[in-house]
Amino acid sequence: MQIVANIIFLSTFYVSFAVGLALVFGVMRTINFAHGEFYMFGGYALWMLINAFTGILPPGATFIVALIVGAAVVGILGILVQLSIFHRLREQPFSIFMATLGLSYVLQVAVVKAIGPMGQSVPAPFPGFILFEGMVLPIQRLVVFGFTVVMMGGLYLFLMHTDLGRAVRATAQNRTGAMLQGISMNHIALTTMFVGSALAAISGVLMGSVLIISPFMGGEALWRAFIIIIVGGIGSLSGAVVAAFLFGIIDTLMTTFGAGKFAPMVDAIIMLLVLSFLPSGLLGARE
Amino acid sequence: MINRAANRQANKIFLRACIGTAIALPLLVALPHALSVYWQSVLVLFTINAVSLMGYRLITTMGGWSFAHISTAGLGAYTTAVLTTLETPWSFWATFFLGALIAGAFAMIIAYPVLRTRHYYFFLSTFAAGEALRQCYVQFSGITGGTYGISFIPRPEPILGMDFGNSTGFYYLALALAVVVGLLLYRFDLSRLGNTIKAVAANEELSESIGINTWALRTLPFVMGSVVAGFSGVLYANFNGLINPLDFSSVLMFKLVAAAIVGGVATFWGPLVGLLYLTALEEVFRDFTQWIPLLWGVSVLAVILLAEGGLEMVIIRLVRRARRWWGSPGDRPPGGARQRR
Repeated sequence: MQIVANIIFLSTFYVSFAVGLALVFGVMRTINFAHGEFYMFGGYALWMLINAFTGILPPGATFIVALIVGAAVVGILGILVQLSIFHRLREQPFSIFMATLGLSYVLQVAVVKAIGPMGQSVPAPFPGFILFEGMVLPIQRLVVFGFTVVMMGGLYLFLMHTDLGRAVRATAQNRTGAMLQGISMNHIALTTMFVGSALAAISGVLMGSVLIISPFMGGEALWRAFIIIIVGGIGSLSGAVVAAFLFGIIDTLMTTFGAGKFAPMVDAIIMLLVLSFLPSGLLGARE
Repeated sequence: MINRAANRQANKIFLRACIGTAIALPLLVALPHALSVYWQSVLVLFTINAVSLMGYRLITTMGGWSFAHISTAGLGAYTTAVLTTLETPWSFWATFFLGALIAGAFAMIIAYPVLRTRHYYFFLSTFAAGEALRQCYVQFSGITGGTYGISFIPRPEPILGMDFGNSTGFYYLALALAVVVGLLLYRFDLSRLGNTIKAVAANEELSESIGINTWALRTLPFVMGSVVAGFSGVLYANFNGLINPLDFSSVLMFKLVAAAIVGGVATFWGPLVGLLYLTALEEVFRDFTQWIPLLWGVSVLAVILLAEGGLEMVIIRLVRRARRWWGSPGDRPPGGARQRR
C-alpha cells in the first residue's frame, strides 16, 4: 500500500510541473525553457516567506501566502517575458526557444549570486504523519497532493467553463480559426504566459515544502518534464497527466524494487519507443 | 554540366581554404611556445571544443539542433577512461577510434526515434535522451565511478617521437585532429551531398518529392557529427586526466549552443568565431566563474534580439562595406541585386 501512496506523491509532482509547460506549448507552439527557473522561483518564494514570517504567522498560513504571492509574482514575470521575448520574436518559435534557454541561465545565475548555490530546505509547514492501513503518510505530502488536485481542478474550470478559457483552447486548436472569431492573439498569449508561469510557481511552492530548494532544481526537473510531455503528446494537457502517472508508476516501482539506477535509462527508452511508433505521443493531435 | 561546374567551383574554394590553413599552420604550431602553461591549457581546451563544435555545426546543417552532443562526447570520454585505466590497460590509440565509434553507434540508435521530430521538438527529445545518458554516467557507478568519475587517465603513449605528456605536445595532437576534421568537414560542406543536406533542411517535403532520400540525409550528418563529438570526448578525457558526469552537464552543452548562436551557423567558421568570443569572455571574467553562464545567456539573448544571424553576419557585412569602400570590383552582387536598396 505504501507503494500506491508513493506513486501518487511522485505523480502529483510530475503533473504539477509538466502541466504548465504543456499549456504554454499548446497555445504558443514553442517551449518556454525558463519554466524550470519559474518553478525554482516558487520554491524560493516559499523559503523567503517562511524565513520572513517565522513567529509572525503560523507556517501553514505562510505556505498559503507563498502560494498566492509566488503565483502572482512569477505570473507577472511570465507577462514580462511574453512582452520582451515572445512577442518580439513571434513567428520564430526556434529563436524564442533559444532566447528562453539563454534566459534560464541568466535567472539561474542571478539566484546563485543573490542567495547562494547551496540547497535550502524549509521545515514542513504542516508537520506530522498519519498512519493508515500500514501506510506512512506525511501530512505535508497529503497537503501537496490536495493543492495539486485543487490547482488542476481550477485549471479545468478555467479552460472549460470561462470565456477566456474557451478562447485559450480555441487558439490552441486552430490559430487562424480563433483569429477569425475575433480573439485577440496578444491577449491570449499574455493570459497563457501568466497562467503557465503561475502554475510553475505553484508547483515550486508545493514541491519546495518537501524537496530541497536550490538554484538548479528547475534544470533537474526539466528533462523529466520534457519526457513526460513528449510521451503524453506535446500540447495535450490530458496526455501530460496520463504520462505523468505512467512515469510516476514506473519510477516508483523501479525505485522500490532496487532498480532505481535504471530509471532514467528506462524513461528515456520509453520516450524513444513512443517517438518511434507514435510520433505525436499518446494523446497528442497529429500535426 | 552544372554539377561539374559546381564541383570545380567547390574545389577552388576548398583549395583556397587549404592554402589558408597551410599559411596559418606554422603560426598555430608556434603559438604554444609564446604562452604560459595556463594559457597553453586554455588553448588545448579551445581546440578540443572547436573540434566538437565543427561536428555540431554539421548536425545543425540538417536543420536540427541536438542537445545530446556533449553527452555523446561523454561516451568517447568514458570509453577511453574506462579502458585505459583497466588492470591491463588498452592503448590510447585503440580507444581513440573505439570511443568515436561508440559515440557514432549511440547516435545511430537514437537517430530513428529522435529524427522523427523536427525543430524545437527535436531539441527536446535529444535533450531528454542526452540527459538520460548523463544520468547513466551517474547511476552505473560500477563502470563509471558515479559522481566521483574516473581519475588517473593516462596521456597517450608517444608515437613517432612525439611526447603528449605536456600541454604543448598534447596541443599538437588536438591541432592535428582539428585540422584533419576541419578540412574534411569543410570539403563535405561544399560538396553536392552537403548542399543536398541543407536543401532537405530548407524544405523536406519538396526534397522528398524530387526523389531525395531525406531520411538518410538527416541521419548521416547526425551520426557523422556525433563521431566527431566522440573524438573530442576522448581527447578531453586524456587531457584532463579525470572526468566525472559534471564535465558533460547541460551548462557545457549550452556553451556549444551559445557558440553556434552567437557566431551563427550559415558559414563554416561562424560557430568558431562564437566559441572564440565565449572563451574570451570566460577568460576575462576568470575570477567570477559563477557569472559566466549569465554572460553567455545575455550574449545569446542580445544576438537573438538585436543582431539576427550572429557575429558572422556582422563580419560579412563589415567586409562587404570595406570592399565597397576600396572599390574592389570582385564583390559586386550579380545583376540588379544592388538596385533594390
